[in-house]
Amino acid sequence: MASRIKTIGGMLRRGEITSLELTKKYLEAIKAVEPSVHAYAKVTEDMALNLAMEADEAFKRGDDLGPLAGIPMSLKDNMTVKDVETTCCSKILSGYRPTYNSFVWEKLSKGGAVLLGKANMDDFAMGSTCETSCYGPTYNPYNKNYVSGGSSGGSAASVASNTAVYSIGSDTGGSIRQPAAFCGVVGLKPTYGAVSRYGLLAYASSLDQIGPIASSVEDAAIVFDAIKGHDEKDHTSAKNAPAEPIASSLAAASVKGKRIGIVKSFYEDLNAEIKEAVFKAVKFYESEGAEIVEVDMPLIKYVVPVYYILACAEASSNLGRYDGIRLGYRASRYTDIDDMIVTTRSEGFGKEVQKRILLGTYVLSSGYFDAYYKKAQILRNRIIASFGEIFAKCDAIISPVATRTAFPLDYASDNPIETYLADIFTVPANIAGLPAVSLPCGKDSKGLPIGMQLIGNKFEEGKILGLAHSFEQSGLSGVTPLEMGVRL
Amino acid sequence: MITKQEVLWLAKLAKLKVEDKDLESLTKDMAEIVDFAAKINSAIAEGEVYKGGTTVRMEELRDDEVKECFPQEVILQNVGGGDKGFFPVKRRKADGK
Repeated sequence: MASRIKTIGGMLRRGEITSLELTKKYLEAIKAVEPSVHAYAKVTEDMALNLAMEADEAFKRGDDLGPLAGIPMSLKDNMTVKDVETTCCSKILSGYRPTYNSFVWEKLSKGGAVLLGKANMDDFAMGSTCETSCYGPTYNPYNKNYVSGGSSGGSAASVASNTAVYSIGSDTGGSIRQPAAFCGVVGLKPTYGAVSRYGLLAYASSLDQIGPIASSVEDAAIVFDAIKGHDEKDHTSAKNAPAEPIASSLAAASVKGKRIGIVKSFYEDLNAEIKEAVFKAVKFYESEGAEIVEVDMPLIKYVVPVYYILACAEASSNLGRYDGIRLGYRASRYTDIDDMIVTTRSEGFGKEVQKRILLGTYVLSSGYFDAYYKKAQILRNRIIASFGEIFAKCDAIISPVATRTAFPLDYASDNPIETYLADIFTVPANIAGLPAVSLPCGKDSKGLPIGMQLIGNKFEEGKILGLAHSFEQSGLSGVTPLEMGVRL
Repeated sequence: MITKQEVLWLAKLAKLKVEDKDLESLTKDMAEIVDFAAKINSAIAEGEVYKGGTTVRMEELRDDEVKECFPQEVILQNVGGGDKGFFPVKRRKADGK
């Protein structure tokens, strides 16, 4: 898969197309594609045209803004852009216009990025299907009877439907990687602390991480290089993370001699088509000179409950701030201020969000704190330690992204536990703060994309992206860009 | 097993209202999820205690210093500029009108 960012960037720099012309093409494509995909919560047409004209002026002046200058993109609706309504696709934030830019948008806008719009997502990023958005679901561009995945479903669908060159998503338990896998594109969840969370409306602060979704591994690396870096406004932002660019070193990355870990128990009850697709990649790496190492992860059966205990606990605390007083939605009928807060929250949060707030309140409440929250933290530390042992034996772990391909629409609401369990391969990287990339490795019998995941040790994004790039260049995935949206 | 009374108590703590029509299904869903979460008990040995520490390296945290924050008029932009420097909340009569 060629780098779309490099191709378009070359056209812009050679004057073959202006950013304004390109942006108009994307806005027209959005109008044509949106009725069947609905990747956007809000299209920022005027802003996009203005940013495109500014980028063209910069090109004329000869300014070097970087590889993303003039290139149209989408941003998940949980990251702030000054004066642009930011809602987390939740009614409770309707009308909220942030007074500041998120760190990630500040960096991108300084680099000349063109914001096409805010991408649709599950209500407060709580969901695996992008169906809990207050704006309605995002459909899978491969088949609109299936979900796009979540919570960054709009981001993944905008890239897959070629209505954005790349997108920025966030990943708390797989919310970049799973929708990327369901939509046949590439998603990177960076190491915790590698990208500042300033301006990301928090779901679970110790798990949330911002990252790119793109049509190729190289594009994901280019965007990651642009958004990473220390930020004093995020107190968990890493000070000493590697600053060297990754994208420029991908072509020279070698598989030979790399040790790739495989957890046999992951494949025992796995869907046969997914198993076959991932093993095709394992065989590729073996044939290229990698050493395949069997590793054990005995705590895997606990990762999903640990994740849901911790994520819900943090959500119940983080979402306590939404009370209708300072911003967003406020109920119109109430008796006194206490009733206003209760009514606002009950009318403003979606059902899934309310359920997770209640679960979080339960595990943090007196009598259950020791029984659930503290035990989950003990297990989290053990899971982190177990990854330390694994990465002493290998450079990366290969796994499926999800236990299945995209869910049919409306499936998740009737099967909550099964839907939660589908996250079993993605949540470990969040629990341990590790980087992980998902990329297409095949299609199922219904024609839906299958994703594979490479998990690396902390701040070793370069290593997993190098391995991902090698497999992508082999052409073995069989997943090609869809014939929709902008084709250049 | 989580009960309807517990769900109502949690809703009160979380400042949420649970409608009568939703209570049965919400209690059932929450009971299933809590049972599922209880799987972790089998992994914890008797007397094992949490010793702190997760993904964040404490030595990397910034110093807790007071920095300049947004001016009051900016903070109040999302409530129509506020009312004499305050977040306005309309007074309501007991009947909600």
